Amino acid sequence: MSAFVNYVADDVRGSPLNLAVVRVLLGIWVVWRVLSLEWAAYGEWPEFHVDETIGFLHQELFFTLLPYQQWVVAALLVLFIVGYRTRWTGGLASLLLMHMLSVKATIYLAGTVESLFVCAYLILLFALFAEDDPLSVDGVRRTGGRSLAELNAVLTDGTDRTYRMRALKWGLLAVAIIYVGSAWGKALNGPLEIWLSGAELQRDILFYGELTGIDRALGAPIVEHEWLAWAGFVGTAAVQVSLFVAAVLGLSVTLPIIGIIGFHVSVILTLGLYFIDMILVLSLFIAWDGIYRRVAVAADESVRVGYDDHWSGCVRTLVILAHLDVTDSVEFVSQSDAPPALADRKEGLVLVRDGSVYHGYEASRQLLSQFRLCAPLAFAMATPPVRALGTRLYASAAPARS
Amino acid sequence: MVYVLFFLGTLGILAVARRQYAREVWLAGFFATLLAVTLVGMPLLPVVDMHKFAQPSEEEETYYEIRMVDAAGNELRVDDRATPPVTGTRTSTVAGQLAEGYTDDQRLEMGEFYLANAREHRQAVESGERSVTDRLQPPRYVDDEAWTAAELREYEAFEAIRIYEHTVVYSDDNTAVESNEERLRVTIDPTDGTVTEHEAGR
Repeated sequence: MSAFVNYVADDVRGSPLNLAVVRVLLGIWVVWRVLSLEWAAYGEWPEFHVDETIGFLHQELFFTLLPYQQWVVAALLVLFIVGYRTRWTGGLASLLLMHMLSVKATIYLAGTVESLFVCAYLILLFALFAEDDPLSVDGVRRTGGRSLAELNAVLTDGTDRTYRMRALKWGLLAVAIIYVGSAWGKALNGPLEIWLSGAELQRDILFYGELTGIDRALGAPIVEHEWLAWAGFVGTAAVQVSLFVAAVLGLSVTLPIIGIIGFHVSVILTLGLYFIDMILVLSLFIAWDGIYRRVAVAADESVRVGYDDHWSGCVRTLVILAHLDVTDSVEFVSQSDAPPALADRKEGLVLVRDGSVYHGYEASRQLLSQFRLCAPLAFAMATPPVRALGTRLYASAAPARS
Repeated sequence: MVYVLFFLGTLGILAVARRQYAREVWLAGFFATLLAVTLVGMPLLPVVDMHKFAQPSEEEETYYEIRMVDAAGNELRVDDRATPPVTGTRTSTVAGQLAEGYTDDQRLEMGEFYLANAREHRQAVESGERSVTDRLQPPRYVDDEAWTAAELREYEAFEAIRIYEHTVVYSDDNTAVESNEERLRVTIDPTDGTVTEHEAGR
């Protein structure tokens, strides 16, 4: 089990969790970033202070709109985070954000802007491959459009559920290419000799020390020892290229990503607080489902659940829970072919754990407690007032039986 | 125009995303552009590269500095927080333009822009108010030195800006800065409408 996932080599996972986690993390991060930038200030710059190559973006109207557009982007992103109509909320949020960043770039295309562009590409990829993502509002809505037979099949063919994550596959490839560019840029502009000594890094650290008037924690040792500076310079290029190489060759990307994060941390310690967004971007490729498998599912206790395969509300809810069941700890049996112990025509739901049998509301509570993420909910459902209310709701939701 | 094409094309692809080859076409276009941009090192918005710290350094390097000048003639380094979104390297570029690129009219306009923003920012720092939204801000890109209220108390009203040129020379083994010489280039006083070039240095 790798700590980071090479989606370029294989974009199929046994759980849909990673897509949902990345969508939420990415969305929250970008909302925070977008609402924190001083959009209103950019239009105040004198007009002649423009990057002429993109002068067509330097329009009064564009600058006037920026402070309002940030709220539109934030609103769209909130819908994106919960996964509501991802194709359009994500797609429009991403395009609008890219336009705002491009307008800002006429004043100054800083690293923050470039990192946010990368985030925007990832959001756009989520929009393009929106249907890959079942743990979302869209995913729940889609269960409504599927026939009971299809949904029942999802539940009863439980053990080999697989999920494609194309957004993360292409996202990882884009990030890898961009990092190759970081290393390539030095080869493109610099003479060959700069690869043979640490002078480049030493001078950069000294120069930024002078420019900002701040001494950095890791600056002094690297400046004083040329071999350290050389190792830092060449090591940077090596880790930046390694991500792409590992990704396309189908090797583990864990070491390359940890290497690049290490590089970012050392940049912060030697030059200043640059590129923190990229640390977030790289963390998105963590194997979240692996962590979840270890901490969030009571794997040792498997249960059997008999359910009413004609009760559509129940089946749709169970499908969502089935997506969370990464260890296949729940075996779903439809009542049409359930043994008598798992059949309860009246209550609709039966759960068997360790020989104990639960029915109806209590069965649903026991099922939720199977997932530690839902443990607080399961705990609340055991308290008398919630139980009283829940039992009545359950009874009214259950299909009427003759 | 590639820019407009990108947005229209992407919207079109989003609309027909489920059709065969639609997304493949978008991916092919996007990755071809990304590769080209990355190879050449020139962003083609909205597709960017990240060639960072890519310019090789020389034995001797120049940067420019903007300083605020108060009524008594005291000088204070500029705080980039006053004029978002720039940081040190960009301020240096602007200052370089002020030293030799811009016309006098442009110098005065930019000088006024810097002064107005500096006054506004100074007021915010001196009042010591930090709103809840300020506290929720992500860390600033490049954590350079900020003005402090205590520091600002020593100064009278800002009236002009001065541009300094710095020449940094590294020692032979690159383990230290041998010298960092500063030379006053221009004083821009939008209040009087005067621009004074200082050719001979201090």
